[in-house]
Amino acid sequence: MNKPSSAGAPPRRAIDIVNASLKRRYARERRFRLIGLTAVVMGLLFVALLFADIIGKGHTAFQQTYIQLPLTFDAGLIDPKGTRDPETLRSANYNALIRAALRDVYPDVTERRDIRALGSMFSVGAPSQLRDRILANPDLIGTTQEVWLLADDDIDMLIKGYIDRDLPESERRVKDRTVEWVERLEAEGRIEKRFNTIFFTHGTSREPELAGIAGALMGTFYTLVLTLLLSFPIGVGAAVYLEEFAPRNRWTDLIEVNINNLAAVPSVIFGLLGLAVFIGLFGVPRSTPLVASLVLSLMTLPIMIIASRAALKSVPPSIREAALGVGASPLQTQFHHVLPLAMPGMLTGAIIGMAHALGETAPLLMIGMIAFIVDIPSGFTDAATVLPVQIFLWADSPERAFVERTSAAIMVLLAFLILMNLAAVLLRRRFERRW
Amino acid sequence: MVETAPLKPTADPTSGHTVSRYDRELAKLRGIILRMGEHVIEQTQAAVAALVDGDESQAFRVLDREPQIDYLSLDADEEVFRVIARRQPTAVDLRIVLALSKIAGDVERAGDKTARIARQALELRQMEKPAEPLTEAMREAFRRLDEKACCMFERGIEAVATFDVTQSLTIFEDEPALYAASHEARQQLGEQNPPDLIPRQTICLLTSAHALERIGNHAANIAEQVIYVALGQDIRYRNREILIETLRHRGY
Amino acid sequence: MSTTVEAMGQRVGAMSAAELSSRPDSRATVGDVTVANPRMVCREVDVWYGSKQAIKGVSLDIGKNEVVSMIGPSGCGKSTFLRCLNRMNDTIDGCRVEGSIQLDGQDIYDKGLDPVPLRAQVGMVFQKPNPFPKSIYENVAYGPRIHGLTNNKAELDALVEASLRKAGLWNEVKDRLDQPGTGLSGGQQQRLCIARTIAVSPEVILMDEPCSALDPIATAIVEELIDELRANYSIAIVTHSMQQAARVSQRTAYFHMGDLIEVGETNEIFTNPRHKLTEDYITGRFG
Repeated sequence: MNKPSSAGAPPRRAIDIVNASLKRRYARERRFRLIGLTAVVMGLLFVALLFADIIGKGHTAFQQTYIQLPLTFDAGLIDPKGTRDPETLRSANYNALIRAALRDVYPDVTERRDIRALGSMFSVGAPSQLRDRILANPDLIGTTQEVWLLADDDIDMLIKGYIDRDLPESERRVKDRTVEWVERLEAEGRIEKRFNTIFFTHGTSREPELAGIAGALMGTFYTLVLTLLLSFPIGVGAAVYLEEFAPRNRWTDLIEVNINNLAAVPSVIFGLLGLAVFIGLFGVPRSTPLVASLVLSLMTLPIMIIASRAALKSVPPSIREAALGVGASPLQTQFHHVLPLAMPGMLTGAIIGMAHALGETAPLLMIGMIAFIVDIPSGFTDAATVLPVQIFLWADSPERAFVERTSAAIMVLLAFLILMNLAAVLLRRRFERRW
Repeated sequence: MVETAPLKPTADPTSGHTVSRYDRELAKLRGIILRMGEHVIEQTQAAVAALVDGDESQAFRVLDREPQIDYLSLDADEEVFRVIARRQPTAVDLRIVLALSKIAGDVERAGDKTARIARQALELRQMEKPAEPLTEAMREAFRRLDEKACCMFERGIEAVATFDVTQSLTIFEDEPALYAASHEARQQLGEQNPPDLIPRQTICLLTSAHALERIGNHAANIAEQVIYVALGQDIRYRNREILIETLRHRGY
Repeated sequence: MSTTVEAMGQRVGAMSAAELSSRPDSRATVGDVTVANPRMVCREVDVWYGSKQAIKGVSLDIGKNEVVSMIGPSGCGKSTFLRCLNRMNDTIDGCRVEGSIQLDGQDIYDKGLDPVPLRAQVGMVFQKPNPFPKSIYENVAYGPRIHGLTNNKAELDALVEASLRKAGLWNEVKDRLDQPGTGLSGGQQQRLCIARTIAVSPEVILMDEPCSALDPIATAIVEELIDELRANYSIAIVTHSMQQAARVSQRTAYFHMGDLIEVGETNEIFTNPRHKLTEDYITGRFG
């Protein structure tokens, strides 16, 4: 054994030296762990802040204010001839019904301006609400009912406390008289907040109280389905070819580098590309899920290919050798053995790619998805918008009530993202133990 | 490029293992046998001195020391078992272990022969008639036989030390001389049959002459094993003359 | 003794001049690479990985019903050579094979020859047991199924059973054929891989260190199996265990840095190798 040869100094054993440095080493380890923990905690804190902010702003959007009004379904106004013809019922002037009812409830309001203010307490959608009721049940004609009518977004905001009643009238969107009426209605129990079904069943609207995310959700659904159908097979096919069949040469190297670069290209570039190529060159109708999915496919393909190749790489080569060794052809080897084993990883990659596509806005702005579309799309070629674009549009709107709807829409989007990521994790858990 | 050299002769086929303990174990085994061989040579000389010069103390010394060789042969056997069990020797190592095991047997039996000569020396002189049973011519014949046998055995042991083919060949070459010396000694006993020797004494002398010849034979057996180790050829029971010629031709 | 020496005069023919000729020192293969009834005949096989030559002019026959073992230090090219025999090297980029390798007189590197059926004829067992992550039955049935060796389920069942029996695994797995093959022990997995290989009725079985991942008992069982398989197949086995080569094979080939140094009867190689490199390797002097 080697003995320390330094004369005079007592021989130091290696273990003493180790012990001496041990304290420093542990301290360094603790410091590192602390820094890591701090980073994680900070990250979680910001996430929590974001969520708290969004939920705090958005949760009220799931409720909507309704005002109760004793309303006479005057046959003279709705159906003067008494034919009960749906066409007649549809085109009747329901606004007049509301005005008549208001006259009855507030006989003291006579001034023309006040009458209009009184009417504007109700949403512009209130008459169609009445129409729908009559169409559903024509027997109501001639009766007097206590009906709950959709309140205007200003009233809604007032009830939810977003408009400060103590502010001077000139700085407030709701006039003193209206506040007075609302307080009276509140006192009479004629104002109520109900679950906001409109938010989930309607398309967007200029009027916040009538705006919903159904159109955006359907647009997103069509877009994502088509994106998945386009990008998954192409991505997997490209990955299998590149990973398993392509010869290694300068061309494949170039392709590989380009795929990796494409994954890092700003998404708005893909939007410009889609605008120029799909819309400009091929004449694909703009603002449709079709063109959106084409663009998003382009965008997710690199991610999909990279994820799929990683999944293929993680399949042990011994499986390929085993299959080739019993005489399977390369294609049989791929389809019988490698792909089934790589599939969970590929699906995970696909889901993450889809989640990416789900949250994408910029390229879609380029291809006209920003158009104001009220109707709920019913196919791949209907004009549509998608959830993130909807959020973008609402965030841009001046009405106070859109703030909470924006947050609510973000909550829905986040819920979907979390669901998709959860699905990815579960898929991996479920299938990855296979070998 | 791969440097390849002819396998034989190597400086020492028992060295150079990746596991150096293996080398040491083989060296230990060989050391035991070399020590046995040295003992046998000493014993032979002492025994023949006792026989020829009538030195009884030498004869007793030979008989006293004979068990040492036996004990060493036990050690050698144990070492052989150990190496086989531990290292599973192959190729040259396998040949070395097997050959050394057989060589140990030969050396041990050569040791027995020395004891036999010593016993004959004692017995020869127990009969009081005549005062000196050996004639000068007989003494001369026995000395020559002893010299031949001892010389062969010594070279045999030397050959074991280096697994030297050339050395082994000289042993084979000496065999005819050994047989001649042995024949000479027996002829002395038979033809000039000294009238004053009783038959019992004649038998003692014959036995001793035979034992000396056997020691030379053991040396040849050892040489056979050395060639087996070195060349991987079992050359027992082959025509010696042709064998010598062939190997000489190959430069040994 | 002197008479004995005389009497042995006639035996002189037993030692030929060739036997005692000076020991070889060139890279040319020592020993006879041919066999009386060869199944595979390799002549002057060169293998390159890119510009690096992994195998240099190797000639070797694999006879019917014999086990040929290939030994040598790591990176000596023995595995590479083995993988040439069923064109497994085709899957490696930049790997080039020259020379001639014939299976029953047919050059397997012929341009028109399809490696897929070749691999059914020359099966392979790998170092690490690599059953498919499927049931035991599916593992064995896969080969016959893709090659269409059976006409119906009953025939396939029979073939699976026969293959598992030949691999000595039937009694251990017959009650759990539907369970995953990856759930078996290492030795059982390796025998399952052997069953999978023999299910497609190969003529030659290549084994690339088949026991290196197994414990001694499992190794002994597989070695016993190799000995039994010899009756019906030609077997080439690469192994790092010289004892294993000595135990299972009839002939042994020693590779060193891409050269085939020595070929010979296994008994001969392990008692009296003729080349210094062989001797040094098998006695543990390097490698």
